[in-house]
Amino acid sequence: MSQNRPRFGMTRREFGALGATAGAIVALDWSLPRLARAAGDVKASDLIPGKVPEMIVHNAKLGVMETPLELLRQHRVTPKEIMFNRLHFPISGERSWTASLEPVERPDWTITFDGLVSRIRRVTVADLEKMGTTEVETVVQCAGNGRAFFAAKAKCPGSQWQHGGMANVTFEGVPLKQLIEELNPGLGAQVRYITVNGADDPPTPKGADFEKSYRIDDPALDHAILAIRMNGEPIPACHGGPVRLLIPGFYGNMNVKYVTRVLFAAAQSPTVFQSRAYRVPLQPVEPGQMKISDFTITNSEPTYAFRIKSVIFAPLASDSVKAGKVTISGVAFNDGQAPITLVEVSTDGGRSWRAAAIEKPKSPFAWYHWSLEAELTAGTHTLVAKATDAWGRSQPLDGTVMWNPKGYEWNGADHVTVTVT
Amino acid sequence: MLHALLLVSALFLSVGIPARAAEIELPAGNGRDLVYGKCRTCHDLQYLVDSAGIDEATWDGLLDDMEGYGCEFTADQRERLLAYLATYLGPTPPPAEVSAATAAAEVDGETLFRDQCASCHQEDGRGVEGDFPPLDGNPDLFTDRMFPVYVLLFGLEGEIDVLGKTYTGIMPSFGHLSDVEIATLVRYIRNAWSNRARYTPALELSGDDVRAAREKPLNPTAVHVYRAQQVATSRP
Repeated sequence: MSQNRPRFGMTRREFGALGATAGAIVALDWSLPRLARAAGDVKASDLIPGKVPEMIVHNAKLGVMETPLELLRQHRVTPKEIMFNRLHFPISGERSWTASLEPVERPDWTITFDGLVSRIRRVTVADLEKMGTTEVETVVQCAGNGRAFFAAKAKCPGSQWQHGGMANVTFEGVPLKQLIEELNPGLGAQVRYITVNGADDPPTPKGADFEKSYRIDDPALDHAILAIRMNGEPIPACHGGPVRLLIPGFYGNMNVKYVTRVLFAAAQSPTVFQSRAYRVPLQPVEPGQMKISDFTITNSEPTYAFRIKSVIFAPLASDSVKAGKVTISGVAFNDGQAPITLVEVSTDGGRSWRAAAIEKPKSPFAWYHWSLEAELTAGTHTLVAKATDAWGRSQPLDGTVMWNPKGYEWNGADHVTVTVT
Repeated sequence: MLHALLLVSALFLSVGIPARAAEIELPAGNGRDLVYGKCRTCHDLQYLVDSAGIDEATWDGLLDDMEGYGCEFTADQRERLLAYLATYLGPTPPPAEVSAATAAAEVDGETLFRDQCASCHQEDGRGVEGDFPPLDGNPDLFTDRMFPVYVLLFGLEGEIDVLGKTYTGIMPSFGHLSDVEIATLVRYIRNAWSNRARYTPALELSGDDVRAAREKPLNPTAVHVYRAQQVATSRP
């Protein structure tokens, strides 16, 4: 999709560098980001200018980072400056794109609808702008969010995400189903899957392209949008602008960035990103029982819908807590298919529980805020939170029962140990 | 003289910014350099550090996974990668002193190239469009005697045009290689493929040259600026 590859960013720096005079070069000193590379040393703000330096960096080369809960809890709608980021590949020849937080304005960006269709259709971002858009407040969450907690049973390889690989943001765009209807490409009777691909490319010739397939009759697709705005502005480059598929209630890897193609197919994509990566076994497994590379499309499921989850935002272990009345608060969310009806909180490690007050969000896909006032005495307390929805789906008290080789979909009841003085 | 001035300005540029890109360092041991040469094509080494402690079967499965994602290695390379990962990033790594003692040097240019360079620049030296520039026929290898050494020691970050095409991949530092290995590698690349025709004795490098270059306060961005100056002066 070479027409979708604009010159982007960096031009000032390149121009300055080519000035080749001492003056120009000294002036350049101010625009030299992204030097450090090591964990601990590296600042998110150097990797993606505009991100706050307090972000926890998991992979400097790809700008993978999560949000400390101390920051995440400060906002109802997560600002882009503190939003977690996960990237698989840069856009070939456009590395600076995926390292930028700037909104992408590309009215000519084209998305092709093809595959088992009678008529290949193309739409541009300008076309999408003219269609009826809807806005949804929704949780976005990396499938690996919480992977670090599985290590209590056995460490799972990969970035050790804690709780900060999630955000609550608004996305606005054209509903996918409505768009397909309007485009009327004439779907073949054999169509079972939609496969969505973006402009990012693997950096090696034999590399697998990142794309995702969804069952065309999955009810979650009824809420899917081809998003062109996030938090009210064109989608920031590193978050998938100018167009990102957003399926509310699905894990982040399903929300394909830089969308260039929507393919209608009889089978799901053969790429390893569909067939081996981002999958969980159909049956629970113990460590050592299943090799990490043994995933197939029949023995496992893609990380589609969020498992129900609650996260304690306050108090955190880093907070100083005074004995007496303490407000315990946090968020809870699920796949949006059924409302969350109960959040139970324990202040004694799970021996006794009380129901927290729940605040219903604007959208079933956004996170619910909950809070509970408790009397805490001086000493150490383990706070636990557990959400349940109207379908009876809840969280395991010990999240490691859901251990899986790649460490996805952590949803154990959240435990926070605080020292009260 | 002009070149010397420009180098001075490039060095001046790096005052006040970290002198070296802070690379993640893995424990020394047989196969570590190969890990550096293969794994950094797509991601940095934090992925490995974060995974440290998993057992051999899991590392073995991860190598299969990575092959699926596009990492290429020979059977021999795979064995060396697994031996390193399972030993030094496994559940019971040896103490650091022992690790250092068993580190072995590789000095054969072709092996060094295959282990360290080919993942990105490809066995045939033609690179990958958009990401990794070709080494075969790349004029950057010949505009300045020391430039390729700087690139290897400090890395290079920033957009470059080579033979009319744009590349934006990040070249990490290969400063983990010994002075002699870097001199050998540069000599090998300058004599490989069509490059051989352009090689002159004036380009000859020794380990001492590399050792001296290590002292320069360069980083990937400063090397990029240095290159821009080279291009501006040598190819009007």
